[in-house]
Amino acid sequence: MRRFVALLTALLLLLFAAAPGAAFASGGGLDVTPETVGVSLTYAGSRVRVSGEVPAGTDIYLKVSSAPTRVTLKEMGRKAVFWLGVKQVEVKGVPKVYQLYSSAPFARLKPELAAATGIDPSYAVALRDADIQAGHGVQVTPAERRAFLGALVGIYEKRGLYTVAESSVRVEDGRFTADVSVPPGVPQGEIGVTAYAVRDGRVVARDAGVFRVQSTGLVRFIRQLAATDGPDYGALAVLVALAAGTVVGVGFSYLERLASKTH
Amino acid sequence: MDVFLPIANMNLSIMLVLGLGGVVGFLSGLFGVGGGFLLSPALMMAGVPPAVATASDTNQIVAASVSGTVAHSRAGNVDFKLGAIILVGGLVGGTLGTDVVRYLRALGNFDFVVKMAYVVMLLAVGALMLRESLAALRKKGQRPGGPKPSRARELANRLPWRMHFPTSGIECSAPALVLLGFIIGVLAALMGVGGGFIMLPVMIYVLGIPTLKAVGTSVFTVVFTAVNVTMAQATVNGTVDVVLAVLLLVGSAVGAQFGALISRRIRGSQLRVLFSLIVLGVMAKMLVELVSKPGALVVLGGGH
Repeated sequence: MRRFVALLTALLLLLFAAAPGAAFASGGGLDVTPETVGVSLTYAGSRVRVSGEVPAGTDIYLKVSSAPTRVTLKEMGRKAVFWLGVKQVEVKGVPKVYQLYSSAPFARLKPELAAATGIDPSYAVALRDADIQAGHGVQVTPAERRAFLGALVGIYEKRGLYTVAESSVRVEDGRFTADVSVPPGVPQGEIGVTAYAVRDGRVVARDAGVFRVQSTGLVRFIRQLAATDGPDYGALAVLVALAAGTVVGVGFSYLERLASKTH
Repeated sequence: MDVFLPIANMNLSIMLVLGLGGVVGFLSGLFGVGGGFLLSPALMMAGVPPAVATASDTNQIVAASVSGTVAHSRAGNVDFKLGAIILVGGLVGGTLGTDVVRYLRALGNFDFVVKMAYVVMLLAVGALMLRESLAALRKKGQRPGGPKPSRARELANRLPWRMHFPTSGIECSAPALVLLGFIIGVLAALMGVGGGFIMLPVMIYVLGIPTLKAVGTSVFTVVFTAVNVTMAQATVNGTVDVVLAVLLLVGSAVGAQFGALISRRIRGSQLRVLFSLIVLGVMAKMLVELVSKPGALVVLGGGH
């Protein structure tokens, strides 16, 4: 009941704080550049620049998140002398990307506002809808749930998918700018960006934008074919290997002949 | 410069992938083995998920074995009849092995099974090769006699449906050959290997096939086993990363040429001692990983 009241309070707080007309002054949404990030064979990570107008006297907080995905986690344990997987769970409802950027300390936000906006450096909001199933009727205890989710956050942080970058948003001449990290391993599809302008513990303006991550060229072709037509992809893989092997073999035979002629 | 691997969904340094292929190719050229059984562990150590490492390794073995078959068939070293019978078992074993991979991945312990299989196989091959090469070094100057008939060979000879193979100059039971092919097929799917490092000792020491004919016939069967497993892995598990396979192939082909060049200047028994030590070293590293407490007690599963 207490949790419900707290949630309701937070929602009401956000509703009143970011009431209609509380969008950023420009009204034109956030500037997100580029709007599409292409994942090609040479992709090693990228950055997306997010900018917009800053209402007078406000701090800017930015939330970047993707749609929830399904992921499998394995708990390692000791059996005899070996370390191997002892429990496997499937986690649903957790976004694969969750990044927070700000122009001011996160500690300035009240817990209710952090919960309502998702600007929560502990990622509690990102993990709120997590559904963990062990399968085969095996139960997941609350302690195990915390451990699995904590480990998942750690894995995502290590890969740069989850980030908390305090005071990384630059504010100059009434505009803010933030560079959002798009590391390799980021999921394909739309990634949402939401900016909150906060003054005196209240959201006075809110604006949102999106950018799209999609594979391009050969990566796109390979992924699509592998996902939709395994036999054709297998045949292609075999043919490519045969062609590459032939080219290398013929090339070296030619070089050997050249070398034997010169000696 | 990095390359993004579409199926592994990760980026790796191009030089690292080419280098891994090159080092393993160099060793295979130097020692005259396929090298697939060293490449998969090397890829796993580089962070490639085991399921993708083994499937992509099998893909690059396709090309290496085709060029080897062409060269050996020109020299008359391929016993097509014997190879075809082994293939019957190999294709069944490869298909079944792919299903085993899918089952183990669903259970979540595929990584452990693959690594354990490697530890056992590398230990067996490394120890046998070290013993044989040290014995050969001690007998230097003496020409080693033919392999002694083993108990396994006597057993194989007692099995029914014996057939004559004129190219290899042996008589052998067809079911024994099918069984050998079946075991090779399962291991190819499970471990991402062509199977030469298991098939060769069996052909030479158990079946009594002359070494060159054994090498040629083994490479011939590996072509089909590797094609079958690549197709099955792509269809059932979706774990073949063709970009990774091509880069490995280029690196290993170049490395193999240099390895073959160097091998002509070193004595065979010395090479085998060195090779067996490398095999045992890789085995020891994998074993240490299996018994050491992992850095993270919760990891991503399901081939991520």
